[in-house]
Amino acid sequence: MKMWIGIVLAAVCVGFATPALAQQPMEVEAMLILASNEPAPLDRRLERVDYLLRPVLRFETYRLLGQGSVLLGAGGSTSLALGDGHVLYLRMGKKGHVEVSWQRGEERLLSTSVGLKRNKPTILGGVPQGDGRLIVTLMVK
Amino acid sequence: MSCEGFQGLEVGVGVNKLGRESSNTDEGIAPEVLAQMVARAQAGDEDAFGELVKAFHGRVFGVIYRMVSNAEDARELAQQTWVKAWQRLGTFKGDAQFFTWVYRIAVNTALDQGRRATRRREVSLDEEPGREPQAAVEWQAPDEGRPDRQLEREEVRKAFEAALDGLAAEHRMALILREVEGLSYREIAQAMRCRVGTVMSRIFYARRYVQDRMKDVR
Amino acid sequence: MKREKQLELLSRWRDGELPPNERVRVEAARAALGGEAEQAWEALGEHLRAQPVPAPTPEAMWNDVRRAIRVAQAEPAVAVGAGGRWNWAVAALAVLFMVGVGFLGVRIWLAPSAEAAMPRVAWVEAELPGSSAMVYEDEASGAVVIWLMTPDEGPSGEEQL
Repeated sequence: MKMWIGIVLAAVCVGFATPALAQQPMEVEAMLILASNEPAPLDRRLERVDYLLRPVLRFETYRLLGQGSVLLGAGGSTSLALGDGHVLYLRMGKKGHVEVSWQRGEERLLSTSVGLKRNKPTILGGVPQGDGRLIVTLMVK
Repeated sequence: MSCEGFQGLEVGVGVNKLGRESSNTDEGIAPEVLAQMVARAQAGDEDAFGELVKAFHGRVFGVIYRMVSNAEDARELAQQTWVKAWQRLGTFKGDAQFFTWVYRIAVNTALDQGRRATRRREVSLDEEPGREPQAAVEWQAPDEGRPDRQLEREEVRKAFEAALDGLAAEHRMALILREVEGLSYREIAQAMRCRVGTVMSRIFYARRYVQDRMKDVR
Repeated sequence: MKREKQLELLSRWRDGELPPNERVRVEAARAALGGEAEQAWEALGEHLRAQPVPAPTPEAMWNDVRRAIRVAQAEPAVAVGAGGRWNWAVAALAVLFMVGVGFLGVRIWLAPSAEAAMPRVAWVEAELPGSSAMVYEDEASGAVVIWLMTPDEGPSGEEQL
């Protein structure tokens, strides 16, 4: 009997601890990409996202300008420098959403609150640069 | 990319430029004979299962070998495929062809290995810059009398292998199933458990990628 | 039609995967593409098909498989037959797991359901002067696209999506 009481008590602890585990920090990977219609060789570094971008965005070529990843914990905030003066500010918002602010130097480009999901990339884009557009892909690792 | 479920797609009656029929057949074994072999194997008859293994081994091994480019690994994975098939024989309902069913197991076993191998390769290439991927099998060019040609062909072959090595496992598998096995996009989607549109983009990406890597070779 | 799109259609045409109306369009556009891609893809296919496959004999493979099946059959028998104490431990762990999952389920059920109902993108602010933003969710890949529309781009920018 004692053993069963122990099991049930342990299970209660597991049950209440599990949601806390679900809110473990998530690793967010971001890539800064220049999309254009200028002919250029395939950028091998973009292999993992190239085939995701092509069906959604109709550009001819994609070139990686910078990338980085960061751990984002519950209620935490952080920033991620992607090169060329581009910085992402990330803050864990309510109900699993992440508030993202994309800046180029002091210039704010785009802010949003988006639910980041594993295997479902988030693509921010449209910022003009030269003959192309800048894109930031966000993926949860 | 998410690869869940199977989305049907209306596909026109196109020209198969490879001139091959879809090879999704049961190795020329009469359907009733095959059905008997499968039924006996499902009832636990190891010898009947052995006959199935021997009949389909060549193609199962071929697709795995082309994925992993290593004879030992391919043998191990082919073995795993057949063991899984034996363990899951009870789930085979006969609504698909037996080969299609085994093929799916082989494809997924090879894909799992391919994903692990890609990660390993990334690490080892980082550690050894300039290392050239080695093909597991050497083969003779037909015009052995011309060493210059042979060398040239060898260079091209190595370049192809290096380019294929750079592909993600899913891209490489889709390409192999199309180019070597002659499967339709729908059949590939069923084997890889993904959408027909995903198959289409994987094959296209793989071709463009290899084309791009090869353009300075010849 | 953009070159990359044409090449994509060419790839499907090559595989006999185009409906008749698109097939005619691709066949008409083939010459303009210069044949470079087709040659490269053909060479790639030939390379893959010409690769020798050092397959073991069917008998050797069956021997391997039979041995592996025997090993696989033996393994679970050892684990299950290891004695009463082991079985009790497995049962206790299983009960613990199930009760834990049950509690988790109740917690999720009792939690506000707003999270599930919340759209993937809660809000967007296009911060470049004069710009606006559009949101698009691609069902096939599950990707969500938040696209900044700038004044110089005009409505034609939507073509990129």
